[in-house]
Amino acid sequence: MVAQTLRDRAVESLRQHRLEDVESYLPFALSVPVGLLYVLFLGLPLATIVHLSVQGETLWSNYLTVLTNPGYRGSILISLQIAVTVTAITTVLGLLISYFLARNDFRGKRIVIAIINFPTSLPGILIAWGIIVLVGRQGIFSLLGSAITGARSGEFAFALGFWGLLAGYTYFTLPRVTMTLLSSLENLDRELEESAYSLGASRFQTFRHVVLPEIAPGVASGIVLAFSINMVAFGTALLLAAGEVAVLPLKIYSVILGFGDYNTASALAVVLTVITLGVIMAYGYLFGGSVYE
Amino acid sequence: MSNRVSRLSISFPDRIVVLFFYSVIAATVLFIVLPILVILLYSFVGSISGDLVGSFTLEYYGEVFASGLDPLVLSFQLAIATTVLDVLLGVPAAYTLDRYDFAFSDRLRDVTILPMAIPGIVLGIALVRTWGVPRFGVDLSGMLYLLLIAHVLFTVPFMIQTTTSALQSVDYQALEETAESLGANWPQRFLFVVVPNVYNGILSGAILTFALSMGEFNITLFVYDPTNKTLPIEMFGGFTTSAVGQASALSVVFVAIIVVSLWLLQYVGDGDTHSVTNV
Repeated sequence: MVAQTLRDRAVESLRQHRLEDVESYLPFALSVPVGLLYVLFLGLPLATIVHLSVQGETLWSNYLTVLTNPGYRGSILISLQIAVTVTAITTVLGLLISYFLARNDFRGKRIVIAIINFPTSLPGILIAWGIIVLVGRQGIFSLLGSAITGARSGEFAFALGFWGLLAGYTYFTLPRVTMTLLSSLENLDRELEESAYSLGASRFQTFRHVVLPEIAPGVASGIVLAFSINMVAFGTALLLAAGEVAVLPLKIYSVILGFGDYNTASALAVVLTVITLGVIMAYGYLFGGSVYE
Repeated sequence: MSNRVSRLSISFPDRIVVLFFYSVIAATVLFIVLPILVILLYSFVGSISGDLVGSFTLEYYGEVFASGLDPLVLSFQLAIATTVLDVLLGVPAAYTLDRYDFAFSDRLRDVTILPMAIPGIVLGIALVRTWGVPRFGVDLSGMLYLLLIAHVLFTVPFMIQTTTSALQSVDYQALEETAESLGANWPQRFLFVVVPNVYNGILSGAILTFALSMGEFNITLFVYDPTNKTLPIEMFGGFTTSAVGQASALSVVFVAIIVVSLWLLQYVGDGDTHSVTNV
């Protein structure tokens, strides 16, 4: 009788154990689909690109072409130049705006923040269209300029080309940088500034020597974010600068579309990925965390 | 008295400084709002001619809803399917990565953000070169499945991230242990204890996923099937022709969808800002 009960208990506990085993695997089992998604549709495709990029006369010949041919090297350089320019503009503007917003209360502030945050959800092609309706050939400012001076509206249209690109890139970068800076300023202890003021520091001194060092990780995050999205932006550039300014993503597109040359395009794609992932990973290494948070 | 004098003496330049800041902010708000307003204007008048009021018409919206409805419907279906898949795939993955420490779990957490960090054009080319031809006996080329997979791949990092930050804001492990001591098994604990506590994060992720999928262009351009155009692809077509009115009307419809999504997101509000990379 006793033996029977004991055996039942043992069986029961064994079953319980197995159940717990199954249970402890469940979360992992449910994560397998994401794992497969990443392996099959991220890992494998990226491996394909790398594989395509090293198929040439030698392992490095495509990369050598990309880095020495003036056309390809030029597009890498112009991309870097635009990314650095827009990053500089938006970081300075973003600092001005976010610091003022963080330290002053006024009516409509919430609405101002909502408006500044708004473009972050718009796709690049729509932003490009927004620039075109402002300063394109049929843009409202071009037509206005034409009506005032009597010159053709085309004289005032600068949407398609370097300046339009700069305007479009600033449009989508400024909100992201400002919001990043704003959230890091809002986490800053105000008492630090108060004590700097009480010790006789001016506004600028306080900002330069107290606030800026404290929000340095936030500023770095904004800079990295701005730089990387400016390097990779494609939709905006396709509408505003196709055939005008050969930024790197456009160059990759035209190499594929024009020549079907997937090897050179892949080498360019790897260069682009290494540059953008490089700055993002460098940020993670130096400051911890991710620029997307 | 001396205090008052000194205050007065700094108040004049202070006022100029404040005025400067207000001007910068006003200019920025104008810069952001103006293109949207002009698109709205053009969607009603087509182009600027002498008589603005006289050229007001709903014709362009009529054209959009007569001819351009298919892309809108397809994008809607695609965005809904992407959102559902993201919740089903992303939430358990976020939980597993946050809850357990296993080999390379930190590295895996870093890997999950890769689809946001890798340029869209690179992902698009890579996907079409790999799956645009039959692979392993599976032919995804020209199928909507590949488009759906691409959208899920692009958006799932945001789902994982919003869920993870929601998980990190509550002590769900303690709650789970309590539930366990009361005899709840894992599926019960996960569905009835963990998920309700991170509901906001999941909802934020879902809305963000929907908005991102609706607007995805860079990857879609490489994997879409010409007989099945999504809304952004259709919009791009409109932008490159000179049909200003119709392209603007289509843009307004899209912006309206985004505004509603953003408003919902504000309403659900997990308080975090998320930087999305969809340019």
